[in-house]
Amino acid sequence: MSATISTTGLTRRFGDFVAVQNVNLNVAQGQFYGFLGPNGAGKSTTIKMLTGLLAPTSGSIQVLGMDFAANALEVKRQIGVVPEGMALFGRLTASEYLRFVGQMYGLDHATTRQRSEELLEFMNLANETKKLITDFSHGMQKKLALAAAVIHGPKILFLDEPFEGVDAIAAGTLKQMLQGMIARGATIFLTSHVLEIVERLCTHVGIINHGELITNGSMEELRAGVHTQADADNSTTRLTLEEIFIRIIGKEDGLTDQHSEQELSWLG
Amino acid sequence: MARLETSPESEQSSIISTRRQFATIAWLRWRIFVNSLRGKGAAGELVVKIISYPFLAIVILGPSAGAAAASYYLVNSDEVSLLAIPLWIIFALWQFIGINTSTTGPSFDLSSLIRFPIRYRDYLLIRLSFGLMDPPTLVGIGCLIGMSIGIAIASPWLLPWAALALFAYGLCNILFSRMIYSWMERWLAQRRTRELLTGIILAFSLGVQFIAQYAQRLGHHGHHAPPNPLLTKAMDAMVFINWLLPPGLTALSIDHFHTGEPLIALAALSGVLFFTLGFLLILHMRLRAQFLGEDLSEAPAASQPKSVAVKIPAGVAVTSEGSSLSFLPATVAGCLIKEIRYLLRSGPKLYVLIMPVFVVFLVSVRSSGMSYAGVSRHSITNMLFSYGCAYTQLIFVSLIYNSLGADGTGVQFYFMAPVRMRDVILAKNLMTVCIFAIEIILIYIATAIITKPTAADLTAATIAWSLFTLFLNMSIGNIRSIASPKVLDSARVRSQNVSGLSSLISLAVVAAAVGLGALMALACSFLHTSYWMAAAVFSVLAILAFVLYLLVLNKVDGIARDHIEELTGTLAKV
Repeated sequence: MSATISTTGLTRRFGDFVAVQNVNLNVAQGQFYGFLGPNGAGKSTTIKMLTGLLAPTSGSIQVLGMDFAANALEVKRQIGVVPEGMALFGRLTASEYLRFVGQMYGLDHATTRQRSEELLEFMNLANETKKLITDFSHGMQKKLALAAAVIHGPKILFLDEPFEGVDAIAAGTLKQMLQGMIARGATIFLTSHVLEIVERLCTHVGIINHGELITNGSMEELRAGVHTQADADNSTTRLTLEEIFIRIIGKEDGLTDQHSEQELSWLG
Repeated sequence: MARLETSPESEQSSIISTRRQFATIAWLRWRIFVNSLRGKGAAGELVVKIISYPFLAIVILGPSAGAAAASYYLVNSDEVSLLAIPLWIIFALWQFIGINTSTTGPSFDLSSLIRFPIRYRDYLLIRLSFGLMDPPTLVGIGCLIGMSIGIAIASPWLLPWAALALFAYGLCNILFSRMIYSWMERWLAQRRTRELLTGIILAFSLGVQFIAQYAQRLGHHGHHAPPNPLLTKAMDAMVFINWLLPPGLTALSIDHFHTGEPLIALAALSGVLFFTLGFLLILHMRLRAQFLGEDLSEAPAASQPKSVAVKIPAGVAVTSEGSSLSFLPATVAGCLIKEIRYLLRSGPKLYVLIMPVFVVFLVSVRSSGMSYAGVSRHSITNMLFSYGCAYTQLIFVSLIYNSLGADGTGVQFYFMAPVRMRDVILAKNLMTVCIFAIEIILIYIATAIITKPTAADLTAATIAWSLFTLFLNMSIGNIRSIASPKVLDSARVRSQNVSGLSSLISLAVVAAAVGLGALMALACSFLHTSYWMAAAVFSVLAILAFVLYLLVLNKVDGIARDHIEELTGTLAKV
């Protein structure tokens, strides 16, 4: 399959600190790609560069076969993003915001209106017509940010922690929507700390640590990569993503079980 | 095995002292200030801060010296009761400067302290104590100290009582301004009260104007004619009301102490304290509600969600039609509609924008019977339209030099969407120009009603000058908005954080433009020509400024790309 998102030597420095170093990514069309890493590993910096929110120090980004730097506007027309801060305009209502976003993406008035209504219904926000976004709960804001990210029917969706603060019912609805998009051929690039969700949804996973992409592949490829003799002896063992993640990151950072024995004895 | 041990009992049993909390908050504000001096552009901001201190000192010392001189004169000439006049001026300065000033340092919302284990009493004290160093309070306190010095020089034995009365008056003013702003924010947060407040302010300004016009007409029956009884009655009533309000009561207290009537002096001082306590009580109601976690949301309670039909949008439609602003490119129209919505929902911003029209009314009232510092009444009324337009420029700089500030985290959207920053900035500028045009028309109408329609040559010159200044400001302001953005809270009335360097640049631009305007007016007067010459000169300058504006606008995307980190880092920090 052709790469929908690919990066070559993607690097980002903040002064002396290297946040992302020489990342070579390849995400094929139709993949549900989970981008994982511990806090401060470089996930958000990478996603910001992939969506045009941050310029790379060096390296290149190709999206849908186009060089991002040279075709930024065209690339942005084809992608949808839910960034870390959600990028909402607090003093608009949900429908006004969706109308605004639709207009920014060049949708005609009727389409914007129809899609806004459908999305607000779908996200259970249709009854919040008079409420300003600033008065929404965090979960409601997340749902609205997602609605805005898909209103123009993007071919690629970038989601930075989309399930954070979203209730279980809404999370189920969102998952259903994202899987529907995948079934129609869209590509989704997602970061999340909820590894169960990533494991259930994603077909492929990349793990970044200290700014470097340390592993990248399908779930089975990842499992094979961390398989030990003990796992081989126990044929019933099927490593979960959480176990894979801990093994990879733990090995990288030299963490052992003694870390978990640390005790904050003053805590009740 | 690592252990982090402490004694839970000792922690829980210790009382968090007020002093410690004060010290902590002072430290927090200091750290916020110090940390704000880190990063790109911080050195420039620091330099501006250092430069601005002498100016601030002049702003404080000037009125203070004036208050000292006036007090000395009044006490020395045995007109102690007329101290009410400087006291009223101080009151007006105290309240007026507050609306028109912004803090150039980082701001910290003290209401966020309620999430900590803090007692209400401490919260109230913190709210009262912090902010005592803001410009209006410094100017007010400076003037009161100046008055004390003037009184002390004229009559040293009067100083202790005068100092006590002026201290009470200062306290009264501090509480009054806190009370007014906290309640205004409360009222402006909701549509119904916002509209009511608009009505009251408009009725007040028109009422004042009507009374002034009426009084002026009554007074113009001839200089040698006996004073009109109705006017005399109205003046008597105003003077009487003055003695019942804090400035009059403070003056009365000092006057009666001066004339050896300590009991009346004490009663008048009690009146000031009564007002002070009243303001404190009303402020307390507001702060108490804040402390208990009020919700100023305009929205009704969330209703039950309905069951939904799942339809996912697909495909990208790339045409744009059906917009109410279809003559504009879709992205510009979209941004413009969003800007209009933001403005209509920002009560404080709206009030600041209608200030120039209000000021025209006030200046006309003041000019109805006196001259200022050598400027004749005739000159003031003739140039009222020009003064109004010049003041409008001053008000608009905050809108122009930080145009992205109110977008907050939304600023990220402009970089994610297929939108050129040029279109976003253009939409913001279009709205500025539209409001500016409306404002100029309103000022013109107000001037025509109050005095007479401004002469055609002066109107043309003023409009050309305004366009020149506006385009010049927008050219520089667009760059500053991107290079040095600051988060703006549309719901706050004052003390918004702005870039010090941007403020200085904007002031310098407006001052230079006003200087140029004055120079042209003088030249016209010297050459005995009409203002058409000035209109021609400023039209050429306006065209040049417009060309500069277009050049900058076309470079905005590149500038935004270069400053993407400052923009998202400052406005979209989560």
